[in-house]
Amino acid sequence: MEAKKNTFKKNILWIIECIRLNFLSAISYKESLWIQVFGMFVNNIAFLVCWYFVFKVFGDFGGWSYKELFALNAFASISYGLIFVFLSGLPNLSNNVLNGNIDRFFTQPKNILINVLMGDSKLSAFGDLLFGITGFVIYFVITQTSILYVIPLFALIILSVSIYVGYLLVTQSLIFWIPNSVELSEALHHLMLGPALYPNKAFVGIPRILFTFVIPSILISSFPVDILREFSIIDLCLLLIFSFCWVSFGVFVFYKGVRRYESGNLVLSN
Amino acid sequence: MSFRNELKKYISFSSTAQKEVMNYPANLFGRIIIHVFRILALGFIYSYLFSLDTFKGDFTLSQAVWSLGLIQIIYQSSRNVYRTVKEDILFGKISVVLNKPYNYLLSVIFTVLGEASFKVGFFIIVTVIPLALIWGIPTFTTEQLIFLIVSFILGVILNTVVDICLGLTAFWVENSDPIYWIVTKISWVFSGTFIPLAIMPDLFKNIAFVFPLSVPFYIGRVFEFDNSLIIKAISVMVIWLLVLSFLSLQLFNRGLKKISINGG
Repeated sequence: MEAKKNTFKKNILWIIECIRLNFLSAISYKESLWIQVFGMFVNNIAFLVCWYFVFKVFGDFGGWSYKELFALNAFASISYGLIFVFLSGLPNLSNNVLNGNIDRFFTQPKNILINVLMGDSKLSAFGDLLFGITGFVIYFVITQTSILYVIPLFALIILSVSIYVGYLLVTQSLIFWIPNSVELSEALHHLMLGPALYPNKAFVGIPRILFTFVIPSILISSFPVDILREFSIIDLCLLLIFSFCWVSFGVFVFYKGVRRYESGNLVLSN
Repeated sequence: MSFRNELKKYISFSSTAQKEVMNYPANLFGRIIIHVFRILALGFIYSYLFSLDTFKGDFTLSQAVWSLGLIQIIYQSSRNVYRTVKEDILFGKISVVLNKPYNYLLSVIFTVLGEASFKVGFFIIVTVIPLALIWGIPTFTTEQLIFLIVSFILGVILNTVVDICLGLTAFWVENSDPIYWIVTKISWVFSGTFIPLAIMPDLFKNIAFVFPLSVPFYIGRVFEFDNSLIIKAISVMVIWLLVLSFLSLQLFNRGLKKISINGG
């Protein structure tokens, strides 16, 4: 028990150290960082511009007004931003496996999953983070939501990110079974991300089931927005269960896949 | 060297690109899945929106969904060009290409056309079947059907040339991604990628008709165009193709002057 506790503590410290180093490395390229943050911020505004026209032409969207779009985009952007800033090894997992870049992790006395998840932060993802934070601030101001909702908001963000991580672990681990499936994994990532930027009212029947249970697009953005709009502890618990299931499934698939991994024969180890 | 031999040389780029697509079926399959899901997702959104009965106009749901689906085919047929050109410049591959007996820009265009000619069949099938089954087939005139083919070919080439121009900015800017994101998102708004231009205000439509970033996606406006507009649209596409090709050539020639080869 004591040994398990120590390992857990060591892993947490290792994660914090990795995040700190990645962050310091990212902000050392100041000029590049700001250009990319600005570029991504403007890039994300395009979604809001498009939706502005949709709402102008068609009116409200199943009880959702333009205000909710800020929260929707904020959830999607902040989840994406957190993963690509702090866990950027995850979306590159299949690419790293393809190039034999995970060999070195097997030689280190550290948890393989943690090592694989950590990677160099994607600079543009800081723009997504900033866009997400701005989106939430705008949503809280225009809907006059109480500042107390910041606490459930944090919980919702953590759950949303967990589901995202679980899904990416599953899709990126496909490389262990399907050789050269980097683009397939990328396609499956975008398959989830695209519908996450649409209000869930757009999907009814089979598409709704598909984008909730098979591809968790609704769970990472629309569903948390609904919880934020009308807080329900049952919905929050449901999201918690989904989050637990996705993370567990992701970790299971990853370790199953790692057993199939054969060395890329890279002799370097650092 | 005769024109025929020259053409043969570039056609070999197309056939190599086709073989490359065939060699990685998982990747093609992935793209097809994402394409189908994307058009279905957009279709469901517009089904819901049109069911609200708040839109007053002649444009129908079927036309809206087909318009969005057709635009997606252009995207799928000319992707990765920006990244290829940018990486060729940043990783120095361009300096190797200079020694070769072919024009780099033409090699990129023929590679894209080769890939597109192979992939387009798949994408047309996976677009037409779900759209026809779920939302029905809108009425096309013979002229509009001809326009579909012409605007597809010109659209793919134009979109490729736009991406080449953006990729060539890597000669001057170390990281040109932010430029690419901003330009492509402006294109996204003005091309009808997400909202069919037919339901947009007239002023917006008129700007989009001549805006270079929306011209490659005219295929999505096929339902708006009568015979006179079809001729105008093809003329605008040809004009922009000439202008942007000239621009890409200028950028390429000027960019080459910035290359320094250190040997090794």
